[in-house]
Amino acid sequence: MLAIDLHDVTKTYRGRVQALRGVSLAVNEGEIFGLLGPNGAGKSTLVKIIMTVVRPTTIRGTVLGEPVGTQRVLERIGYLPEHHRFPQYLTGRQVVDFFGALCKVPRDARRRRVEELLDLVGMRDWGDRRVTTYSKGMQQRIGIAAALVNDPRLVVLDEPTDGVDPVGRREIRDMLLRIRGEGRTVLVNSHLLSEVEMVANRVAIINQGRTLAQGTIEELTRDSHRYEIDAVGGPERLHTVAGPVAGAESGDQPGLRTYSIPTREPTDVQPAIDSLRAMGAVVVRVERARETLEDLFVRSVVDERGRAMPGAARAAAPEPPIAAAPPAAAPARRPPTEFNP
Amino acid sequence: MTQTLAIFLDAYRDLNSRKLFWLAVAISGLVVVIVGLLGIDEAGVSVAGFRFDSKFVNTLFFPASTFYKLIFQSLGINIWLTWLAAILALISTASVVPELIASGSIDMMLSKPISRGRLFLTRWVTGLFFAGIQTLVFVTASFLVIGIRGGTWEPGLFIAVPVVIIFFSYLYCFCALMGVLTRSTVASLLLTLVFWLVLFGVQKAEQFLNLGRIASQMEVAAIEKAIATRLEKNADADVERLEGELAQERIAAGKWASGYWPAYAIVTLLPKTNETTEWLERQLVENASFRRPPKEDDELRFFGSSRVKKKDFEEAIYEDAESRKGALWAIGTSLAFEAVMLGGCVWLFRRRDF
Ligand SMILES: Nc1ncnc2c1ncn2[C@@H]1O[C@H](COP(=O)(O)OP(=O)(O)O)[C@@H](O)[C@H]1O
Ligand SMILES: [Mg+2]
Repeated sequence: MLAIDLHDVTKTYRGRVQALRGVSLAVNEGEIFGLLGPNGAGKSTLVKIIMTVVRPTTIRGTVLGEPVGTQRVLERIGYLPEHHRFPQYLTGRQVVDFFGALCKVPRDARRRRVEELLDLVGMRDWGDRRVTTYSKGMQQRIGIAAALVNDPRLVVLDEPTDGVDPVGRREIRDMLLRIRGEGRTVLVNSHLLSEVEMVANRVAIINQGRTLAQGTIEELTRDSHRYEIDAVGGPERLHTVAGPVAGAESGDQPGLRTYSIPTREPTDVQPAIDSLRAMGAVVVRVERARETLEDLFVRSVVDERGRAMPGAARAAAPEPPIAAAPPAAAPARRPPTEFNP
Repeated sequence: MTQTLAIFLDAYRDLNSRKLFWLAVAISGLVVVIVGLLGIDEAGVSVAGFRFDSKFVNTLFFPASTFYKLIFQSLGINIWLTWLAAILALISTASVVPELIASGSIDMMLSKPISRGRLFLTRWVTGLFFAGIQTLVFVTASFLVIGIRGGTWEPGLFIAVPVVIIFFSYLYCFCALMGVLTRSTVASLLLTLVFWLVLFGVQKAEQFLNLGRIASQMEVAAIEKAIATRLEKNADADVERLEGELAQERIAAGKWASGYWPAYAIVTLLPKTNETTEWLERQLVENASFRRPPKEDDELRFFGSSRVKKKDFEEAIYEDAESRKGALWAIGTSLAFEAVMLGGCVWLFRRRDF
């Protein structure tokens, strides 16, 4: 069964900002699903629509088998908003308890649950300190505990590792795995790709309010298997089974070219090596390679950028003139979006 | 229920962390304690042992309970509860709505299984509730002082608690609406104070026009009566002059009335802060044997004439207020205004994207 099954979600904010322009999302039960996209892509908007913080312009589909935003559904979802601020006057324990009460968890059950969760997120010793004294990482952990207090089927985390140091991030990743281990579905929203890549079963990449790709990481990068051959003294174009391939000259060694052959079969590469050697070129390296999620992401986002202006376009704005659009061919080694390799 | 309790507990912790609330409660208590330290006997008053002899303020002139009641009335209600304590309460609760809808905290609240309307109204009521506690503390303390020091127990005093809470709610609903619109504590607080002053001005204007209207009406009646007595005695020497005066006074009365009724209509639509306080004072006269609040002499003199006695004029004003400015008018229409304000708040709050 699908935990989240949404189609054609659109949202136009006041001021005509089109944050979502027809996003579809299918999240299986019991998986960690990564929602990826550059800043401003509309990830938080999508999550806020699920959590009734923002009202959709149009929406179809279900969450946990029911229409989006009913109280029955909300009772079974845990949520950690991005940039959340808990009341200054509460301790960590009180925060978790308070949100438990708002989720209608009865008092006794709540008391037990709060202790369990403080253990789970490693905040037992800090539970009675005010949240103002917490580091960012501690606040996120208390936030995760608060998101779990109602024993939710679905946990929605918006940028849970935002502002957290590397050790803290790893701990949060481990928590996500543990949460999945308890049979919950996790929807995690991030612009940090490598992080999501490590834990997510499936991902969706969204940009400028549209879904660019959706599936397992394996599925999404399947067609990107390739062999790379570095050779000194090779031709500008090399004929291979996959057609002619241009050799990209690398700056660090004169005459060194890299040929990238889109195939996953080693036998396909042999003729290319032969012909290189026949030409007298020196083969320096042969390596099997595959697109990372980051490559895929950058490729998807850059492709998209070639077609539209960056940032959420205004609904009323006409299609940008070609001259104003960033050059589509610009090789984006460093993508203009923020991410951590 | 779990949710409502949680919201109240949270509101309590919030107020508790901001010392202002307790400061206000403490000042309330202190004000009453100081009044309790005042003593009165046959020779005059004393303050914590220091004696001030007086020919007029002593128990030969009026009983001790009246002395404390007068203080409760003039200081407790007219200055403390309906001005200073109300401002303190506004300061300590104006942040409720802006903090509720602050980005970062609202997301988590809205994602819980509680309707937006209920969330908003519950949080609003918590603010009112804690402002009410201040009032309750003050009135209870005053009740004790009037009982212990003045020697009469007046449970009728406690009507002041709900009425002052209602009075505060007029301001607090406006404050909430401004909070929703501006999202700023300071802005909503200042706008509420401005709103309050406007209400004060409008009500004062209505009362002023009403005094003129009543004075003029009484003058007409007095002249008519004078003419009638002259005619009875067949002393019609003056009648012609009096009839001239009557015609003039009737024109004046018509002018007062045409100025007054539009003002009355406007005040009817708006929340009535002053009128609610005055209604409360009239209730205390009825239920807790308070004295009628004295009208300011200046006002009386302004409208007075040789024909209308000051005492009759005062009486007429009081009766007019009693007959036309009852609970339904003073409080009912104000609550209607409040309902519209709160409806506006909830409507805005429900349809906003955070
Ligand atoms: N409350 C709002 N009102 C108007 N525009 C908004 C609001 N929230 C977000 N946006 C706009 O919608 C777009 C998507 O934002 P968001 O969903 O926060 O992106 P992400 O979480 O992927 O970074 C952005 O252009 C942002 O400026
Ligand atoms: Mg976001």
